[in-house]
Amino acid sequence: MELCAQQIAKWYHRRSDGANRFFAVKEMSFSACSGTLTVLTGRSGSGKTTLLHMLGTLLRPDQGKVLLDGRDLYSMDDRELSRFRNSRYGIIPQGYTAVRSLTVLENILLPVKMYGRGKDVLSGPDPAKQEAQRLLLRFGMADLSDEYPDRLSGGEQRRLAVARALAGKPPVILADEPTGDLDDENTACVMEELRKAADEGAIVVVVTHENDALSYADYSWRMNAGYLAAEN
Amino acid sequence: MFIRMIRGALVRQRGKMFLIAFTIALGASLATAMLNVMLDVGDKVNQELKTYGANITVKPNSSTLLSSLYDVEDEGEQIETAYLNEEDVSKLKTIFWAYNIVDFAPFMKMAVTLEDGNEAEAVGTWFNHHLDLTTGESLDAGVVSLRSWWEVTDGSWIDEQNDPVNTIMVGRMLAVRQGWNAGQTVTLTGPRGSEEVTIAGIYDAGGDEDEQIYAPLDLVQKLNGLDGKVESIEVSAITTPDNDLAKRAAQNPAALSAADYETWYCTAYVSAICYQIQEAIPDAVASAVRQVAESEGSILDKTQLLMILITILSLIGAALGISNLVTASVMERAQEFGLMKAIGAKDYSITGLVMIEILITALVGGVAGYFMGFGFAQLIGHSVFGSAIEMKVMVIPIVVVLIALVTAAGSLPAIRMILRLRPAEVLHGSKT
Repeated sequence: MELCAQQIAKWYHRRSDGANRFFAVKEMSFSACSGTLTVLTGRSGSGKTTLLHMLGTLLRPDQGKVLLDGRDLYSMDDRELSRFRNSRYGIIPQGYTAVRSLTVLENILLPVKMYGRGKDVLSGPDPAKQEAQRLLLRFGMADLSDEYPDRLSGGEQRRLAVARALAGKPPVILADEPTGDLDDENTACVMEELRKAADEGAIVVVVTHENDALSYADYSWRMNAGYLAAEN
Repeated sequence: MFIRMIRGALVRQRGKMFLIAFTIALGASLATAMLNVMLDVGDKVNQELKTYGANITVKPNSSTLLSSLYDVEDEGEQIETAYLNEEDVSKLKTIFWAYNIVDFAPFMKMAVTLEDGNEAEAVGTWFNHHLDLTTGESLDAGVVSLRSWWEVTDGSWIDEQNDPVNTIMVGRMLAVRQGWNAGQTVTLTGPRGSEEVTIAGIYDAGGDEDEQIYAPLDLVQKLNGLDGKVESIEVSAITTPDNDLAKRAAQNPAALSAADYETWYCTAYVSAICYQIQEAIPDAVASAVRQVAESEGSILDKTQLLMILITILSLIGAALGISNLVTASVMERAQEFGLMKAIGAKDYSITGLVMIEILITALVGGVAGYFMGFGFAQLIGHSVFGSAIEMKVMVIPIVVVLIALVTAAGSLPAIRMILRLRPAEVLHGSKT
């Protein structure tokens, strides 16, 4: 499986009359294959998150195509794309996000349950549930599975987001600052799990400020003012 | 999980949901109150207007014909060629719409000579005439209730059950000119002799009647030598305001189709009641007092229009309130919805989630509002009409539909916001 961006670009207009176009991502191409972990680094505002969102079907590029196994993702309509995203992607957003009316375990299993996959996930011996419980144990949150997100610290919410992206074992995992605000021990845990996912065949793309992540990467790229440059 | 999400959202946002339910309850209560009053107000307004006199007059056929031919309405003295039989008057209560006829009185006018040689007009009528009908019903009919706005300034109304027949009521102006008082005995002379009568009371009608003498019908018939005859009957009936069908029927009932005729005949239009009176009393022509009938329709139309406007405005207000509250709720949960989209939720799933939350809230608010509104309707009924407002079952589905529409309309901006929500925008750098 290959995730491929072909000559994509994203720009914004800073004035309503269309003048003063600002390029968040300048025309570039990118690809990542199954079984690899790619790290994107760069300064704030360099376009890392914008690129990740375009790869994750969350932000339509103004130019170019994003392909997964040769399929043009943005040619799908919203309904098809939503379902596709659910089945193929594990997305870890930058902030602390969770559905507040669901418990930690329910939040982790939400993507799996959304389209009726694993209907009895919460009651039966389901692989996704077992994986969710393993991840919670791995992240030191086993005793928090029945808590609600409002009761979690920032770091715990971040790990919850990582667990949610990994539990369904999607073929593509996109992580935006997955270790932000985490201590060294938890950073290592999270990066090891992302590495494990890649080793099991997923395409993993991580956007980060932290150089520690580079040691887990197969490939690393650096973004600078919308341009992408290979580091390794 | 879906149900838990809905329940969780309702519990977590209970303050906002309470405000939404309260807004819906206010809208529903006003709509319920206004619709219940509006559907019941026709009868209430009719009953109120009945206190202002008769709305149907019944005259002999030939008298009416001559009056029409020579355009001499109310100049019966010149063309008094026909009479109705007093015994037919009670037949008014045998027609299909008998229960809508709330009062009536027969009349006979004549000129009488007073003791000083001057003439005055004497009107023979019923005051509180007791009738035992063939239907088994008993009632007291007459001008005591038909002219309820008259003020008796001296003495009291004639009581037919207790006072002797030679008792009269005198108009205030005539009494002042003649120097008459209640309890005084005077002599009235007619074509067939003289009668000594006692003045039971002096009345102030505020019109031409203040120059007249009102006497029991028997007395005037005796003075006039027309026993058992009456010139006209005034009828006060509860009617349904005229519509196109009633207007067409009033012109020529025979021209109506069978279905229209049945509808018209079985509706309490003034023309239908007149038609049935003519069927019951031979050689009589019943006609509507147009000013009263039209006033009834006009007042009713205006009252109903006012209530419809209040209902519409209250529902618009509720929709705006719902719109603000639901939009605020969606804005507060934008990151949550963004996340759901990011992990694959479709737009309509999130919209459905929000709509179900709002509909549950609307259901609670709507039920509470309905009962509040019914209470308001009773308050309006008792304070304005002095009686309870009947609960109309048809109001329930109307209120349900209105609340559903208002809730849907109020939720539109929030739905639009959900559809436009881009996960990339709300998730970028979000902190819960």
